[in-house]
Amino acid sequence: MDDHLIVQMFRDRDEDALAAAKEKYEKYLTYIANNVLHDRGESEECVSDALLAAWESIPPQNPDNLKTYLGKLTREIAISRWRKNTSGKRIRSDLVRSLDEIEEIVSGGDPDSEFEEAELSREISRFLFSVDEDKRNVFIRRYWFYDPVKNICRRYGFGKSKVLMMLKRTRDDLARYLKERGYLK
Amino acid sequence: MKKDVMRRAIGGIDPRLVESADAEPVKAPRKSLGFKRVAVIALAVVLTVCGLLMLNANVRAAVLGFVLNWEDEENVRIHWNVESEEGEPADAVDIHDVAFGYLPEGYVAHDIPGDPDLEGYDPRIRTVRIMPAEYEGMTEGELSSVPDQIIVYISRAGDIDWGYGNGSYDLTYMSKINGMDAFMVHQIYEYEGESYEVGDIMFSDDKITVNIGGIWEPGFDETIKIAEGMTW
Repeated sequence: MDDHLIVQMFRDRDEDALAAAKEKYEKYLTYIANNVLHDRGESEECVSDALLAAWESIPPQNPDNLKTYLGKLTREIAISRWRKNTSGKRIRSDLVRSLDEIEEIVSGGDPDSEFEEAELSREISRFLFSVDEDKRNVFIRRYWFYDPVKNICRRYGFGKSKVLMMLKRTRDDLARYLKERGYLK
Repeated sequence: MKKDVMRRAIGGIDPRLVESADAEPVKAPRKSLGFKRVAVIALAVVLTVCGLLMLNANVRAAVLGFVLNWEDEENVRIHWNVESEEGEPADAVDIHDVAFGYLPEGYVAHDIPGDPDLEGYDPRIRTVRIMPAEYEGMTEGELSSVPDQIIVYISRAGDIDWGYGNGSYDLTYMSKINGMDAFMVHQIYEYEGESYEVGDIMFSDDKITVNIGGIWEPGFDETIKIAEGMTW
């Protein structure tokens, strides 16, 4: 079923929208959730929560890209659930590493600066559009999809050293880009 | 910037970027080796045999003695054998056949115990100080200010995860030197906008920093002092 049709069903409060979205994107959303939660049952619950969140947010939201919209909801819900599950525990996992790497981009930045998140997203998008395709995709697979490094290696046929180097350089370049534009001091 | 802002901001990037990264990558068609297959297998066997021979200390010393050499102080460089993975750009080369030789005469090597209470401590990483024998008996504080030392961080390949910020290196087990496990190092890296190759030595004030591989993490004590005229 076409995404625009599904979105219209959400807007018309047609409950079949949930079933349609689930049928089309359940596998994709479960993949994203599982990268964070590493638990099938939890991931399925997370996907259900994400679809519910979509039901509650459309309207007024009217996503042009339903797949990415649902993926973003799933991503946030999975992280919240993961944080709740691991609260107070010292966890060393690939996800922790991934989150630490993201934090590294802003390390040393002014913690009191307030930036509209959407504005920052736009800047990061501009940066990513300007970057070499391989580096861009590796960055997004790592920090949007939370793919483990080994999965990224397998997907693109790159060695581990190469992937790690690409991620490091892109993070450094992004930090420099944001600093030049005043987002980091 | 408040914590989590960057993570959420990345979550909100242009959907076209996400779609593009989600598209199945196009893989180059495999070329049929045809009659070259036998040659490739034979070459692999020869390289494996050579690799096994290199495990012998005498063979290694003979080979590395030829490969590793020092130039003048201003442009000192450790030469490494470099093999690139097929099709990879030069800045993503994994370096093979790099090894430490034997300790120079008159030098000793000691483990520097790590502090489990310090952030970044990893019991799989050994820190070894190679220094002139005459420094034996000096305290850590005294040793931190004298020249002619090499501090080496060594570990086993495959056991170390990357990105913990503890300066761990991706190294490969190679041999034993004076009772220590010694390893090959690889990685070319960039630091502060400059590109360095493994083996490059950079001069910074009165400290000489040797890139023996790995990615330098902020705050990590990467300064290594190297002995003038040291031979391997």
